[in-house]
Amino acid sequence: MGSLDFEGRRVPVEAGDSIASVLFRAGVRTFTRSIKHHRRRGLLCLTGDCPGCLVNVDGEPGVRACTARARDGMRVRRESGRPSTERDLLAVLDRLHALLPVGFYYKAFIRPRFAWELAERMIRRVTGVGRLPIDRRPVRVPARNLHADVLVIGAGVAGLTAALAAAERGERVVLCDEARIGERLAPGPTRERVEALADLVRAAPSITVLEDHVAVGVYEGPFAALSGDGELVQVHPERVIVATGAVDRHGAFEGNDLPGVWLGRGAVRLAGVHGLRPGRRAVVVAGTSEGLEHLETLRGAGVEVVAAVVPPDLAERMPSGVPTIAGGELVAAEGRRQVRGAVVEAGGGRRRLGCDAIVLSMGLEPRDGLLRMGAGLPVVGAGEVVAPGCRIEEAEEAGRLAAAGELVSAAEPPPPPVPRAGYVCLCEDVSVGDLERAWSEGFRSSEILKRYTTATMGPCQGAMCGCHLAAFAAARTGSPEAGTRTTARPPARPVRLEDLAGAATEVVERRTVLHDRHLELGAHLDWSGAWKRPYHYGDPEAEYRAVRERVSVMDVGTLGKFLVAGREAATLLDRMVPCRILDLEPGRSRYALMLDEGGYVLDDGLVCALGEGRYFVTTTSGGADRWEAWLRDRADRWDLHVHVVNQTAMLGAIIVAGPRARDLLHGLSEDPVDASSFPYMGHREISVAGVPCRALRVGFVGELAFELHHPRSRGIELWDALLAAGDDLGIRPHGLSALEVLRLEKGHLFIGQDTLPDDTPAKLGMGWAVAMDKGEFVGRTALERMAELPPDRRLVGLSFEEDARPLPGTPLLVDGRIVGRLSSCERSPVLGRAIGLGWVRAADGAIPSVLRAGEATGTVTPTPFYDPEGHRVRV
Amino acid sequence: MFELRETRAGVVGCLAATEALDALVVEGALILRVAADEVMLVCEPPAATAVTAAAAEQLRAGDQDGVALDVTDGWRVLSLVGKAASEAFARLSALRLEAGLHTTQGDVARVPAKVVATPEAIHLVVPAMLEAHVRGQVLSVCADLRVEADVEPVEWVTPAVPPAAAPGGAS
Repeated sequence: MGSLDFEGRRVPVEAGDSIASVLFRAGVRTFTRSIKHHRRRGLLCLTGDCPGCLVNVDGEPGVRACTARARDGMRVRRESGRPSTERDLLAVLDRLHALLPVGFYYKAFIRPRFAWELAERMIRRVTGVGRLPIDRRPVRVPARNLHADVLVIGAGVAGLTAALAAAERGERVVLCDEARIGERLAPGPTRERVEALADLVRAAPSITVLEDHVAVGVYEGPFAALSGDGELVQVHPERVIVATGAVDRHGAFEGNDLPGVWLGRGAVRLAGVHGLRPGRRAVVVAGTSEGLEHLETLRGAGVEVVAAVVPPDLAERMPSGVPTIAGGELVAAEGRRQVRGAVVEAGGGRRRLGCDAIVLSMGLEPRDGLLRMGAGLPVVGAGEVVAPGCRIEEAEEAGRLAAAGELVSAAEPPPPPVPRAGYVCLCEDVSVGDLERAWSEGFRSSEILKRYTTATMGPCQGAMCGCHLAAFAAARTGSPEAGTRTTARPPARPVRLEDLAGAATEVVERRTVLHDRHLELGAHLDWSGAWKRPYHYGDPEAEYRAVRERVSVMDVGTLGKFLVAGREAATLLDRMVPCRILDLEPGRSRYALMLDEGGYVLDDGLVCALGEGRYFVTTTSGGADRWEAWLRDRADRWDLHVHVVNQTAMLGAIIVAGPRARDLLHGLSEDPVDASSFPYMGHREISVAGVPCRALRVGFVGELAFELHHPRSRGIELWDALLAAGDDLGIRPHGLSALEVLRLEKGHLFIGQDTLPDDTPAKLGMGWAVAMDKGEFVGRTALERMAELPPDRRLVGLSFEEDARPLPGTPLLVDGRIVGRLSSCERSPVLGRAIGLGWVRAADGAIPSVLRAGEATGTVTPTPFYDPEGHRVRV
Repeated sequence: MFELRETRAGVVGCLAATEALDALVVEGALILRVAADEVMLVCEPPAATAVTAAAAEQLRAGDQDGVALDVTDGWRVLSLVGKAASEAFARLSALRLEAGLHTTQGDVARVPAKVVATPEAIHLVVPAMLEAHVRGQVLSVCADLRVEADVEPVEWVTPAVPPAAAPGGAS
């Protein structure tokens, strides 16, 4: 079938091979080194439950060799150990346990303080858990959603039966399994039954079968994430049936982690599925009837059973010719590189048995992590996950009951013997000795033992060791509560980060209708909040001069726009904002701050009275969502007859600004736009180039300006007409870079950029925007209270000497003490120097007049810097 | 394979008291219930003015403050048409679509959208300023489903039987 590359060696691959079977056939016994003591680890479970076979495949670390299918041409290498996994010099750590006691990293490398930084790096290297392929191109994993009545996780006998039974009830079913159905089962009655059921499942139209999809977790909803086959599937079922089976219990004895120690089902899988003997001579430790079946399978595969260690009741059923040690206990596995013998205690003495494999069929532990994650949700178990070791007929019955929604209570498996020696947690290298040490230090329940020792926190997520940890804690306290299983959390199986990121999508990008026009004009587009906006069209200063000297246009379609309508619309707005609204005449507009109850400035905008209980409100681009939420919330809370329509998406807006703005509009509109019929802060419905607009006389840039709000679908037509008609006037569009200078010259602030979360209107020098002599409004009480306090901070204008231009964010200092921060700073072409805004703390009751900003000296200057009387905006 | 096509539709926003909206019936328009006090009407583009007028008249009878506004410019209808349309939608949204004519609303490609599912197509009604984002997401997330996007726009055809109003949800 081909071959794979194993550390530079060509190794043949046969049909049905896993990576583990390929390597085992090639003589590999040590697959990894353990994380802490660098002990040899090899194949153990063959079901993906233990960490013994993690290898690097084609650059991807942490691949479970026992469940990953072998492919022709794949490159496989082992990752842990220096210089190699076979000859690992760090194995000396196995003799230095005393230097690496449990929790040593909580106690060591504390002083000097830099020691931990160095130690952490070293520890990470030594552990050898693999390196992330940071130079690999990220792969975008597609994600999809599936809705179903029932999600069945696990396609064994119970899961398949549950899926079929649910489908027969008319329910839509999603059935998933981390492998192909039946592929991991050795030939026998179970596999035959699974294959028969699988045929029926595949033929059922209402069952969606997802093989090679591992369930990562079960969440509230219920909701389950499945990863595999190059995709992330988000399943939204009404209920979940967990049929994930059981795993052989790992024994706790000296040397229990040596390569050559096998879990029974793993050994049988190797023999039955891959035709490989786990060893030539094996000691079988059987605690259940299934153990006897394993023994027979192994013998059939040509394994010599040196001895069977069984309880007395099973000894009677032992086939003839098998040396049996009834009532014996396995106390140690011996060997340096792999198992060379087993030590069994029986009849008051110990016997050493020469062997190269020890097969453990001592009992089963439910693979119930997903079931425990689903506690309190409509999630039930079926089959071995609630009845480990159940027969085929029992599993089918359990599947049918689960499909019918009947809760199958978990039959607690008999508790494992209290671990006395060996490793409890193979993932994290936690031994029984470590647990005892932690216990003696006062960690006295399974949950806090877990946190201190990290047992159950490795890739297996407690599948192998959770029972031992619980048994240890329960035995030591004599209290079952202290020995409860620790909390199960996702991921139930190791999962790649790119799979988890599969559901993530790109940042949402908002575009105005003029987006393509900006690109055609060579605009430099970048993020401005959630929008992509032009910062400039190649020459910000020329754009600035167009506004100050001639005429310019800017796309401000990003502004929030609302229609507030209803007989109590005026009441709503008057109580929402601190300026007067009730006396606002139709055709007039007023600047409005938005305050919270604390009197702090959240945002600002413009309120335009339309008449007949209607108002048009424009807001900042970034504040539109907040305005909408507040308007709606207040209208509801105050029970007012008002409706709020968000028109942000349906209206575009173009600002026409500059001393020639009126000339431009004259050429495109028959409606009057002269100062007497259309004064500053007025608004009118006019037609510009045939496009119906609501025009607002505003003054953010400090020049004559008209803000044209128009139907979005007419935006391109309007933009093109303005640019064409303005050609003779020297028109050019301007972007945010020019706007930054223009508004700064007028001393206008950007909420958020120039403000702090606890800025009141007074601190911003905007007391004029608050009408304290009107009725109630949001924030009024707080402003009244704070009015009695001396100002502790002010936003001030700053002028700098000719060549200086400190960056926004620069601390402002007086006598070397930081007293504030520069929030905005630009060089003003018209003033010939840098100007800025910054907040400054009062010193000795007064705001300092001269401050240092880096190397520059700033003088506090009244704003506006430019046209302080406002003649230019009112023309 | 599926097509991503623009469907030109008229959209009318209605805000009024719940009872007034409950009683609203406008011929030729599909009613999407956005919230207790908000309804969206989707109709053929030339009918938007008439639908707005008819809705306004009806609403005023039940709520003198009721508003009906032609908001066509604020919305775009992107339609997924073809065999893989459901698969494509499942990649974009966790919303559950029922068989037959079904309307719902929620997160589609991270955008607040209204969804009209018919046996022929899944229509995504999205804010106009987010159209490019949704289109881009469909093309990138569903590229392997062989999406045909270079398709002539079509006109909205109002389904014969308006679905039952879907209550609640954010607009």
